[in-house]
Amino acid sequence: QPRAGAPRAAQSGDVITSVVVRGNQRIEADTIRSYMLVQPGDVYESDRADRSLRTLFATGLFRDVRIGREGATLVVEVAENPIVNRVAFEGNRRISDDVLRQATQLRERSVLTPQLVQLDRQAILDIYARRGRFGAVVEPKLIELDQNRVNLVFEITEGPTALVARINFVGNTGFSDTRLRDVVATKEQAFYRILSTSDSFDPDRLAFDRELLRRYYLRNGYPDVQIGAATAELAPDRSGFFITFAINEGPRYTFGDIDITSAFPDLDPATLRRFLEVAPGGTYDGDAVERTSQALSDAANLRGFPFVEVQPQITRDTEARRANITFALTEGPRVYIERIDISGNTRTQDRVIRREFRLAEGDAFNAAQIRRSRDRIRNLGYFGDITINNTPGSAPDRTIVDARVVERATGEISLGGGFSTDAGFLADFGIRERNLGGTGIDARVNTTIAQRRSQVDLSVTDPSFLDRNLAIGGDVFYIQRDLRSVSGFDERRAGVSLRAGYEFNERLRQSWSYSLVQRRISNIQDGSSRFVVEQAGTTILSQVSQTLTYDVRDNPLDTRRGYVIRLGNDLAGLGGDVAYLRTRLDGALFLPLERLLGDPDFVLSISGSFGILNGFDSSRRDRIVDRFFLGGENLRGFAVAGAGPRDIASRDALGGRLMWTQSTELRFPLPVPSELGLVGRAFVDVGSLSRTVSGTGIGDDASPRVGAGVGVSWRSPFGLINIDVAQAIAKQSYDETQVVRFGFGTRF
Amino acid sequence: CGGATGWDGRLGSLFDSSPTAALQDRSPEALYAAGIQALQEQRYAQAGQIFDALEREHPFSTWATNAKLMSAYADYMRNRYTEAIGTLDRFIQLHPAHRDIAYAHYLRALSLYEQINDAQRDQRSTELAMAALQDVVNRFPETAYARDARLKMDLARDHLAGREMNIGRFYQRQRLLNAAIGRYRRVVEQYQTTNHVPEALHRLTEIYLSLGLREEAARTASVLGYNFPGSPWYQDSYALLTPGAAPSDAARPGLLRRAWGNIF
Amino acid sequence: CGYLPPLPERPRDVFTTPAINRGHAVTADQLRQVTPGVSTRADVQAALGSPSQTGTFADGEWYYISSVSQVRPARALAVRDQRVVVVAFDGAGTVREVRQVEDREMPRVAFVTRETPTPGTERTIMQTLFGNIGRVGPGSSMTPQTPGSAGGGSGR
Repeated sequence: QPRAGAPRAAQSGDVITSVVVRGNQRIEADTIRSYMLVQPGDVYESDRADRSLRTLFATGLFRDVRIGREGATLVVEVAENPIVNRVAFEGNRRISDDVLRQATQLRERSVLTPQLVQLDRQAILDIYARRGRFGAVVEPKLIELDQNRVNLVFEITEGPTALVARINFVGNTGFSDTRLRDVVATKEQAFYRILSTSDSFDPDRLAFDRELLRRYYLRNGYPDVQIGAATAELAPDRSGFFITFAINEGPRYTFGDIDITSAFPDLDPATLRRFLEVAPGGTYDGDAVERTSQALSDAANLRGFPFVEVQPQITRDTEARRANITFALTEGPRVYIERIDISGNTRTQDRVIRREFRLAEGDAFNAAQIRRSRDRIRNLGYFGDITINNTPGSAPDRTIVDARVVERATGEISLGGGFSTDAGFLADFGIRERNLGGTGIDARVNTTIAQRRSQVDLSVTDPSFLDRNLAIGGDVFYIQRDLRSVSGFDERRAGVSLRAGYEFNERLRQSWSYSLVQRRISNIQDGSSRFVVEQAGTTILSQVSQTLTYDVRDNPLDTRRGYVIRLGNDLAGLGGDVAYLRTRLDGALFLPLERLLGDPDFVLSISGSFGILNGFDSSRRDRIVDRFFLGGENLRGFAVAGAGPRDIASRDALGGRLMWTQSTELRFPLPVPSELGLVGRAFVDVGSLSRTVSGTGIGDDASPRVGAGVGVSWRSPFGLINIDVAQAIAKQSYDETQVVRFGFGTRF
Repeated sequence: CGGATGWDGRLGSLFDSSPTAALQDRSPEALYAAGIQALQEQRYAQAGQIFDALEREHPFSTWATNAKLMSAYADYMRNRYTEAIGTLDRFIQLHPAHRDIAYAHYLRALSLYEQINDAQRDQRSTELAMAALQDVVNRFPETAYARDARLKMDLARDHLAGREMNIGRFYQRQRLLNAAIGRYRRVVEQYQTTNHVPEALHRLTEIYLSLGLREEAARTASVLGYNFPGSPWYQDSYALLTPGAAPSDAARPGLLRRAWGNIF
Repeated sequence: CGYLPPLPERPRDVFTTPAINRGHAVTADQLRQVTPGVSTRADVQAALGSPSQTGTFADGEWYYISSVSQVRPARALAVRDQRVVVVAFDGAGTVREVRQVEDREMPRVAFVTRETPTPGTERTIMQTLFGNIGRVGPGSSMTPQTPGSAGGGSGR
C-alpha cells in the first residue's frame, strides 16, 4: 500500500539539472537512473515522468515508487521489494515439498512481489485440485527479517479427497451401465483402488470420459449420439460425488450399400474394394469408416497417386435405419516436402531417425506415409514422445515437416526373479542399452541363474547396418542345463553366433545366422538309458540357419487379428561333429470374435507347428540335444519332454525327429474390472513326436497326445504371472503328465 | 546450500555444517577473499557455497554483487550450466549498469556454448548459443569478450553447416539425389564462411553429373575452382569433368571398398 | 454373413519389395501445357508446380527431378527410373526449351568417401555407453560433457 500524500504537482517545462535517488538499499542508484526516461539536462515533462514511474514498477523490484521535484532536481523515492530468504511449506502431508517447490516460482534470494505470491498460491491449489482435493486451503505468511529480507511460509490445510461415490447413466438403452462404466476412465470408489487415483473426482477427466463415450457409441452403431456434460453433485456428507452422464443415443444404424468413386481416370474403384472394412448389413462403426478411408488413401498413394483425399459421404436412410456410405477419392492439394527438420534428439543421431522416414525431402507430401513414419519412429523405443507436424514452406506448394522427439532413458539395468516349472526358481540380471551412443545399436548382457538352468549371453545388434535394409548382430552365450529329471544328463552349451536379417516388405522378413557351438553332455546318472550313455562327451555344432517370417498381425504383443507364418531351416554339417537338415514350419491365426460375442477381448487363436529332422551323413549322426521334445510349453498337460519316445526301463526321454503340434486357444476377459489385467484362457493342445533312435525297450508311438485345460495370466504390479491347469486326455502309458504349470517373472 | 537455517529463518550458526562455518571472520571482505582463494585452488563447489553464503548474509554490501558473478563462474567451471545461466540472468536483471556486465553476458553465452551437441545431434542448443554470442558482440563490440565471441560464433556456424552436410551425405548415400541437392545448396547459400563449402560444391558437381546435367556440373565446378583453387575437392571435381585427370589421392577408394560398394 | 470374423487377406505377391515414388514427377500431359517461346515462368509454375531445383548460380533453368526407389533386401535403396525434366528460360523469362534428360546422359559417378571433419565435443566411450542411465528429464545438463575442445572459459 503506497504511502499516503500526493507528490507536489511539478510544472512541465523546467530543465532538470540532476536526479537524486532516495530509499534504495540493495539496488544502486545508477541502475534506477538507467531505467528513468528523464535524464539530467532534459526538459521535465510530466508524462515522461509517469512513464518512468511505470517502467520502474514493471521491473518488479520495487514495492512503491514516487517521483517529485525539488527545484531543478528530480527526486525518486523508492521502497524496494524484499528478498526472499527461505520458502517453506507446512501442513502438506500428501504432496512432498520438492513437488511443490518445482511448481512455485519464488526461490531463495529472488525478489518477492505480491503478484508472484498469489501466482504461487494458485499453482499449489491447482496441484491439489488435480489430486482431487478441492477443499484445500493455502495461506501465504510473510515473516519480516532485518535488511529488508523476508521468509515466506505457505500454510496448507489439505482437506479430504473428494472421491467418486457413484457413476450412473441416463438414456442408455443400447448398452448396460456396467459396460459403460468400463468404458469411462473415471472409476467408482472401491477398496482395491486405494493406490490408483482413477476414482478421485477430476473435472478434466470427466470431459475426457465424454469423448470416450462418444467414440464408443460411434464404434458401435450410433452415428447421431450426443453425450451431455457430466453433472456432479456432492453427497450430503461431502464424502463423495455422484456423477451422471446424460446420453441421447439416437437411432442405431447398420451399413447400407457401400460405394467408391474415384476422380482419377486410371484409378479403377473396383480394384480398391478389397480394402473395405465395412460390409453392408454390419452395425455402423465410425472407426471402421475412418480405417477404411485411411486404407484407401494408402492404397492410392502406393499406386502412384500421391495427392489423394478420401471423404466418406454418409447418407442416412432413416426409415430402414441404414447408412449408405460413398468413399469419394478426390484430387488433394499438390504439396511437396521442402525440408524435414528433426529436433530434440540430444542423444540419438539424426540419421537413425531420418532412415525411418518413408519420405525424403522433395517428395510429394502424403499424410499416410507421415503417419507410418511416426509409428516406425515410435516403435524404435528410444523416445518418450514423437510429434510430427508441418508448417508452410517457402512456396505455396512447399511444406516443411517438423519432427520433434523427446529422448527417453534407453539404458536398462534389470534385476529379475521368478519361478517356472521348467527352470525352478530363477534370478536374472541384465544390462541393456537399446540405443548405444545414439547410433541405434542394441547391446545387451544378460545372466540367468536358476535351479535347472544358468545362462550368460552377450548380444549386439545394429538394426540398419550402414543405413541399409540389413540388420547385423552377434551373440556369445554359455548355457548350463540340468536335464537329469527329464533325460538323465546335464547339458552345457557354449558358442558364438552371427546374425543378419532384412525385410522384403512390411510383412515379410528373412534372417540368416551361423552358429558355432560346443556342447558337452556330462554326469549321466547311473541307471539312465544306454541310448543316453552313448551320447556322453563333447560335440561341435557348426550350423547355418535361415528363418522366413510372414507376419500380418495387428500388434505383435497383444494380437487380436491377423496371422503369422514362420519357416525355419537349420543345416548343420559344414564341419563340426553332427550333420543334419532340420526344418520347422509354424503358424498362428488370430480371429477376433467381437462381432460374435460383442466384446473385443474375445480372441480365438488357432496355431500349429511341424518339425522334421533328417541326417544325411551316417558318420555324423544327430545327437539327443538336436532332436525335438514334446510336452510342457508346446503340449500343456504333459511334463517337459513328457510325451514322445522314451526308454521304458530308465524312463529317460530320447526326443524324436518328426514332430507336429496343433493348439486352439480361446482368450476371454474375466468378469473383473479390466484395469486389474486378468485374462482367462481355455485351450486344447494336440501333438505327436516320433522317429527316435532304433533299439529295444523303447516306447516310440506316433499316435497323437491330447491335453486340454484352462489358464489365467495376470499382469500384476510385481510382474506377469501365468497359471495353467491342464489334463492329459489321450496319452501313452509311459508318458509323464503334469497338471499345473506355473510361471512368474518380475523385472524391476 | 550452506548454512542450515532454522525453520524461522534465523541463521543458526550453532549447528552449521557447511565449510563456511569454519570461517571465523564473517565479514564480507573475508568471505569474498576466501571464495576467491577457493576458486584459485579449483575447489569450485566450496567456492560456490562461500559466495552464496556471502550473498545471503550481506545482501547489501557491494561484495554481494560480485559474489553473485563469482558463484556463477564456479557453477560454470563445474559444468552446471543451467544453474550458472540462472544466476547470471538474475545478475543481469538486478545490475544492468554494473561495470562487469560485459563479462556476465559473455559467461552466459559461454554456458550456452558448452551445451552444444556434436553435428549428428540436435542443434537447437547451437542456435541458442549463436544468438547469445551475437548479443555479446552487439552490446560490447570492442571488448576482448566480443573477439572471442566472434571466434566461437564461427565454430558454432561450422557446427550448423556440419549438420547440413551430414544430412546431405545421408541422402546421397541413399541415392535420393534431389534431397541431397537441397541440403548442399543450403550450405552454399547460408554458410559461405564455413570450411564445408568446397565439399558442398564438389558434392553438387557429383550429383549434377550423375543426373546428366553437364553444364550445371561444369558451372558449379568452375565456381569451386575460382573460390578454392588449391582445395583437393576442386581436384576431384576437375577429375570428374575432364576424362583422364587424376583425382586427389585421398579420394580413390581402396579395392576392398570398391568391391564392397558394387555388391551392396 | 456379417457375423463371421473377417477372413484374413489372401497373401498376394508375397515377395514384392515396395517401390516408393520420389521427387516431383511431371506427367506427359502436364508437359504439353508448356509451349516453348510462349509460356512464361508463371505459366510453368501453374502447370507443373514449383521446380524441384533451380540452377545453382543462374536462375535460367528449372529442373523437375523424380525417381522411383526400390527397397532391396540386404542392400541400399536401388534407384529405378531416375527422370530429370529441364525447362530452360531465355533472358526475357519465356520458355526457350523443354527437354527430358535421357538415361545415356546419366553416367554412374563414384562418390568421394572423404568427409570434412566438424570440430566439436567428441563423446568419450564411457559417456556414450552410460551417458543416458539415470538421466533426469530431457535435455538436462546433468550428464557432464567434457568442455568443448574449441571452448573453455576465460575467467577473470
